[in-house]
Amino acid sequence: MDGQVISVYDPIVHKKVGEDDRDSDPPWVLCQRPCIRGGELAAALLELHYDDASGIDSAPLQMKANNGIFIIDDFGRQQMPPRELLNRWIVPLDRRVDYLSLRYGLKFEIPFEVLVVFATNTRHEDREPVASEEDLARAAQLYFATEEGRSARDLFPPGRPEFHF
Amino acid sequence: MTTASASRGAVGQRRRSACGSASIPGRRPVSLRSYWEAVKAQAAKPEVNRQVLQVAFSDMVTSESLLDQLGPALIEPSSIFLYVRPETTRPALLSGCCESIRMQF
Repeated sequence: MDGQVISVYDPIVHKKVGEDDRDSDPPWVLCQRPCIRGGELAAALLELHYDDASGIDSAPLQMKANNGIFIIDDFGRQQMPPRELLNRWIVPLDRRVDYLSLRYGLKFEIPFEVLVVFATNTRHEDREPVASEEDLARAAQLYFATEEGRSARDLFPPGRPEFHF
Repeated sequence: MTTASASRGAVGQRRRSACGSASIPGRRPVSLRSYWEAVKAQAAKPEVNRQVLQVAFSDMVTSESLLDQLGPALIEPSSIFLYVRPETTRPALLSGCCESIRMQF
């Protein structure tokens, strides 16, 4: 991008499948679909990180998770406040496009083909309201699955329209 | 040398320098357009069915109603909000979700 190289392949995240032919100098690495758990998520991990030594930008976590799963485990307990995370991702979740910027400010689009799983066991009553349920559900097209078989309407009764975390 | 070609030369130098670094040995960069095409072409379209879920969750005790909800959620190309009771092992449940998706590819 604009002469900058962004490194996406991460041996910790991407489990390589088979051996590639070194003579052909392939640009791609065949991997299993990535599954990332963002338990200790911080805002900086969702942006490009420039490495001075190599002159290469390291891809943010959601870019490394492309074509795979990104689990926000124990949602609400990350370093990054849930409201900030949702504000950062509400457009990517809706449009399947994310916007990154190089260190000198040039913005560009990348695909956001990630299955995001927000997982929590914090009870509804204990969660902090962070967004309108309707806004978030419409934008993120969230599919609600609860262990107790309750619907989203049960979790978010009409009298309490906020989305709680 | 014009300013434009000098700039291109600098970019090329930077790219060559980056490609020659130890962090990406043997890998040549692709264009952003190629990356877009590759990601879109490989967008996950999992075909999760009950049998897949039962295999993925075979090492834990789960209710049928949970699988009834997880199945459609994993098929849908949208995000999932998963509420798990505090006394349930959340990591095991998430591992089962990951496994059921990975079994498809």
